[in-house]
Amino acid sequence: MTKRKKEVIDVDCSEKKDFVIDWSSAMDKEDEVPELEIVNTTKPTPPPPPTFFSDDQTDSPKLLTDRDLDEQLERKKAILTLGPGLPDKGEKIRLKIADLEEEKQRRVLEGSKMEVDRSSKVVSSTSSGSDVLPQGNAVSKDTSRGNADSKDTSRQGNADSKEVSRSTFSAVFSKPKTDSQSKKAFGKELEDLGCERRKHKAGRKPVTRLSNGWRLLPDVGKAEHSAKQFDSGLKESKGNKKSKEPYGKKRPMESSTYSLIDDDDDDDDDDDNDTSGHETPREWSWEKSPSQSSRRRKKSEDTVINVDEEEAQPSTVAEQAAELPEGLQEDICYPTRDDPHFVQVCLKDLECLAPREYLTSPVMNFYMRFLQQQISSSNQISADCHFFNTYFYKKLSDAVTYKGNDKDAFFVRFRRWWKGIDLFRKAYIFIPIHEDLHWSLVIVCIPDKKDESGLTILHLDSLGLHSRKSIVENVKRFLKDEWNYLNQDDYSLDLPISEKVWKNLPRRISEAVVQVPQQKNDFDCGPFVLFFIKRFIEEAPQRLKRKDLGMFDKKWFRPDEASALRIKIRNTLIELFRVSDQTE
Amino acid sequence: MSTTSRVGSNEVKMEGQKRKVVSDPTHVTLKVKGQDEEDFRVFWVRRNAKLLKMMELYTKMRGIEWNTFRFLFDGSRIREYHTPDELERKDGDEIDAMLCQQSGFGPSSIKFRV
Repeated sequence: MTKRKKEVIDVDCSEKKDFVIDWSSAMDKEDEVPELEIVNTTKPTPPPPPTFFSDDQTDSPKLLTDRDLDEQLERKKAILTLGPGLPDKGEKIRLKIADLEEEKQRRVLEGSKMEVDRSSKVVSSTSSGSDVLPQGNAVSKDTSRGNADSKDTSRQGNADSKEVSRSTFSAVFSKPKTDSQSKKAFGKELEDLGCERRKHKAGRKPVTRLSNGWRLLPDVGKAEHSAKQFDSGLKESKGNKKSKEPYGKKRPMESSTYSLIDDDDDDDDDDDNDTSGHETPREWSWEKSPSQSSRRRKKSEDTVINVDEEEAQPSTVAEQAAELPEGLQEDICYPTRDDPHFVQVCLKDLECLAPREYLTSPVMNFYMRFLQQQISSSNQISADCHFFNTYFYKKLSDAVTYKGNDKDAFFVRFRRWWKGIDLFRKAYIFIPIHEDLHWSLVIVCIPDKKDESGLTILHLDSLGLHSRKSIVENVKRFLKDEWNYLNQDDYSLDLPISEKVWKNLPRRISEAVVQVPQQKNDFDCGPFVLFFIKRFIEEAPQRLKRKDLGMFDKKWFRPDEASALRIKIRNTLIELFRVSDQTE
Repeated sequence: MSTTSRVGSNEVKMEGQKRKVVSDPTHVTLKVKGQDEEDFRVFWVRRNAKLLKMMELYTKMRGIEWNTFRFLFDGSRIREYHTPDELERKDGDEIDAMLCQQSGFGPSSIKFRV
């Protein structure tokens, strides 16, 4: 695609005169000076003989659509009937009719049809942010010069006038105008470029409403977009009546521009009332600024971005909630009633699995027990995990903060909570935390004998609500107390971890601050904790090393995956209730 | 200071905390402590009696429905049909009475009857 640099030519000017625009005062100094460029892929057509147009007909016949051409012909022929009454006896009209008929014949011969709606053409932008005429609207250099040299007969009588007429475009920058004048001037300039704005309801483009409440903005031509920017600077916004500073001065250095759309459906067609700025915008449409791209790009469909979302998430097919059958027994014990660490779930506990409900401890304990049972035998991590129930942390905090004289005896009684389990031989210890009406999770990662990195405590909180410092400190003190108790015996004969680490264990317990996905509401902390456990079991190595901490991230999983766990747990429980009902 | 509840052959007796507990071949003393309580409540229970009566009595004293609490011994759940003998309970064993935990809900929202 060839590009030719064109100078701005004033067709109204009686004598050819260069006009210099002071861009420094008109626009920001940081911005590049836009250049008007005309793009034409085909060879320039030879200039037609100079014709004299009236004020309202400065357009070349080549720019007209077939329908407009016919309308123009009919109109001119109708005017020709008034020939004797015209100053030039209708000579100019006859020339125009001849010109139009010649163009019509040429089109018939070539068989080339122009687009039905000229206004639908989009004026693309170049790297400098300047307007580029579409191919259909392109005028060759010679043609434009020919038109420039032609004189308007209506102005010939005013030859003695010394004032030189300037283009409407330059007039916008050179002398102060009122709001409406400036707007009309810009609109006129757009018409000259062949992309005049079509008026819609309230002077705006139609807006498509989406099912999720957001609205899709239509494709906006670059010239029209710049017109909106220009207009927004000239008008006072609703939100700030005192603001009179032009838009160009306020524009930030960012390369993105934002358009605000208000929800009001006023039928006012007056452009002056159609403001661009609003105090509290509800929708934002984002599109690349013309000045950013260094080459022409295909205009993709506008995407609506939800400002609340960190990133666009692909939608997942959610599992359907199963119907709760009638006549089920009141409660079940999982895995069995005979299991010493069974979990009891009542039918009433299923209520907390409804949307927007808060998960209760029976459901939390059930699913942790369920995960223990369901871990595949191929995954060796299952044998190396210990899960404490939701009530454990309360006892732990009581034990480590106990001030009585019989502190050792108190801890010995507390140790019965993990009777027969050697915690330091485990790879991972899961401790669910329930404090201040919120759930979070602590994972204690214990290295193997070869690793000398020490113990690591991870605190995973989907809201950042819990005091990480105090929770980690309590868990550290608990591990130290257990280490002290074990050191009294001949435990050091067969150490579960490196001897170097074991000897200095209280100083070798560190905390790793990790980022995890955050919930978007105030009721999903329970599902998030359970999903943390589920996902960790699936992805964690046999023993966690420092380099493995990279698995934790804000994008570790999508928040809706954790939220969807409610339905999975509910369906699992309903199935267990059914099975239990049949067996009994 | 002590209250005795008799239902059929089952007998549950609550003792004052400071009172010396005498070992009994047919009875066992169990200490129940709520998660929001400072002190234990001591119960004198028959070894072959179901713990349902002790649970009901404790929750009645607290002014809450009996199934609101989760009774745990050494972190394991105790059911109402268990007996001290089945659980191999000894004198002075402690039982934790835990309230159902919930996000957006907590012990502070329950009004206890004094």
